[in-house]
Amino acid sequence: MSALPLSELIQQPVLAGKQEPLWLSQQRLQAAKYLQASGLPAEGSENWRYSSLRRLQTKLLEQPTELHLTEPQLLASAGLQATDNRMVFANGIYQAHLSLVPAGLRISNLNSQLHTAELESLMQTVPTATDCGFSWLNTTAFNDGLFIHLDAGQVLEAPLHFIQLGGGNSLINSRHIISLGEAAKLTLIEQFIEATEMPPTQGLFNCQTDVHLAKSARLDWSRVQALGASAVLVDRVNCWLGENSHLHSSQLDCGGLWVRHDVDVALNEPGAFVEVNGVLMLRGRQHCDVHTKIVHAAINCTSRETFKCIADDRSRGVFNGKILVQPGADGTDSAQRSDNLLLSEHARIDTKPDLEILTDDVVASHGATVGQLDEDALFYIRSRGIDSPAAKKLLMRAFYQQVVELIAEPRAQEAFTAKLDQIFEHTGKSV
Amino acid sequence: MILEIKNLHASVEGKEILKGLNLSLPAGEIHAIMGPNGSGKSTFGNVIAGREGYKVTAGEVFFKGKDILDLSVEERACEGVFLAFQYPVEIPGVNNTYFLRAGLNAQRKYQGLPPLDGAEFLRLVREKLKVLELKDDLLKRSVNAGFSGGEKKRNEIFQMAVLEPTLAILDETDSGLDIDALQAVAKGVNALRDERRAMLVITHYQRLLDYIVPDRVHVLADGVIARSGGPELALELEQKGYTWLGESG
Ligand SMILES: Nc1ncnc2c1ncn2[C@@H]1O[C@H](COP(=O)(O)OP(=O)(O)OP(=O)(O)O)[C@@H](O)[C@H]1O
Ligand SMILES: [Mg+2]
Repeated sequence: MSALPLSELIQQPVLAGKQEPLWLSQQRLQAAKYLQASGLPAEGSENWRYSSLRRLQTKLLEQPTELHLTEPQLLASAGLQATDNRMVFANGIYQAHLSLVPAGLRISNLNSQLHTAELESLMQTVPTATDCGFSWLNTTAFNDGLFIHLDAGQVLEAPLHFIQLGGGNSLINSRHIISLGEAAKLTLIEQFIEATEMPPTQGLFNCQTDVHLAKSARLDWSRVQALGASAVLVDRVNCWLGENSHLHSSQLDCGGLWVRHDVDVALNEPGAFVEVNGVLMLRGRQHCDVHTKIVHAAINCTSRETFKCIADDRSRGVFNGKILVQPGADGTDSAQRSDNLLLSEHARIDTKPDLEILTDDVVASHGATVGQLDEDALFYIRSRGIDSPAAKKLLMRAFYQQVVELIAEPRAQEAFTAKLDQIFEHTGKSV
Repeated sequence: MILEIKNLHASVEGKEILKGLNLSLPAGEIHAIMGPNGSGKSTFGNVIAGREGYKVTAGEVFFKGKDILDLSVEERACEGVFLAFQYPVEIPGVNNTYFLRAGLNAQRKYQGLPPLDGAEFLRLVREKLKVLELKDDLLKRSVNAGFSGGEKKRNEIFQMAVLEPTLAILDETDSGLDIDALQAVAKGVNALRDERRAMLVITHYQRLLDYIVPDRVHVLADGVIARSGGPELALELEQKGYTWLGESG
């Protein structure tokens, strides 16, 4: 199959699936119209000011290709046990033979749910206006994704591993939907990785994950993004939180050449709680732009954010943390921190807390720092006999450890630490 | 001789602080260094420990007969130099025990010894803790983070007790300590006092020297050793201050 530049692909998006219900075909057509009219986000759009799309437009991409992965390859690449619950997608294509789904729960690929009332209703709530052409592209062309729908009271005790593998130069559009009914509980460990012995990802992942939490539902979600050094990723997460529901999300971005990662959370009903934490570990010429947007739309909701970015070499990190407290959202409790570490004079980090508070009864704090490794601390550590590279690693580890410690699930902590330790060996050389 | 310093000149940010310092510290001895604020005592400690930015412009420093001025901070530590900081640094996120074990094992590696495993290290720590009466939970916390002034100083001495250096330089370890802590620190210091080691105790107060009796007392003023004497010199300084030094010496 021939490869086409992204700019042409979006002019003639391929509509996925022939056996689709009418409502979905209509959504796709509508999205295609918007996409053709607006294109990808324009140069100069405030929301995209740090991430130029110019070079992406000419990127040559092809339709997703099968990766033909074996189970041992999968387990080794993702650090999984054979008995771990898992949903596996390779270049966006569902790998039924590699997946292991716990019995009795509605966990499947999205395509197997196309004709269900639940999918139709869940897909109606997705906002129809966004400044992001990637969203339109996703709706137009997604070919499959993860679908989780837990009924009221359903609890999956063991974590579910959600693996997305890449390889080659495919354009991958994936749509994932997670919906937890009243008091349902799920622990999700998501990984974006390359498979061992597979061609590196040079394509574009365009993913959208929609999360719906009903009353008192709880989702613990860790995400490790460790794609290869040439991958491009646009990853958008939309979350709607019901009464007293709880979302705990930890994000590690250490892979990819060019990454844009959006996390939008709407605290729609009283007492909802969200914690979004992240670590960005960047080197080489990596570019990673994280935007979070938390909307307090109901009373007595809580939001917590801690982001840490370490940038080495010529890498570039962005954290933009929008918090909007709507009128009447009394009893809002919101805290945001963004701490950043520059390891090289050529690295760059932009951090921007962005608070908009439209009500009075609010406790809101935010803080941002950008610094280098503390010279006094380095001297102190070395004066006990620890050499300079080891002392630097100790301090870098200390820097992100705070976020790792906030992860409740041990397997997820492990996945974070393993990945960070692995890339650690190559970071901090220029300090 | 543990430490032999000849005509040491050192500057910080282009400003000369040490201006021809001479000092000999034989094995088995403890010397006290006193002197006015800003006279260069901490600078001296930093120079011996090898801190970057402290430039030696002239003179020599021999440690166990070996010139150490070209060694890095960590190499000096591994050779057996220990500095108890006047202001111990807080390092949030680095576990106190982990840190100390990493330091000890780095030094052991340098000395060609096998690393201590978790259990062996814990045994050593328990033993040292008893001497120092340090609270157990301080070990589980991050290095000095949120420690009180006294706890930080005890932690310095605890590190010294575990690392067992040949030369320890204690920079105002007694400042800000209550009587109990002072005695605990003195106990830690005296436990390490033996024929193979030596110590330099920088202090402003004669009080510490009641517990740690020094062999010699030196006065560092304006970057040089202005006067040296026996323990009685500390008493004299306590009564008269530093101004009389200029008159008589
Ligand atoms: N990093 C530095 N940058 C600039 N000046 C410095 C630095 N370190 C020390 N100095 C200067 O060197 C001089 C000696 O300082 P030092 O800390 O050695 O004094 P000290 O004798 O330890 O004093 P104190 O009794 O107050 O602890 C002071 O004038 C101090 O300001
Ligand atoms: Mg001092």
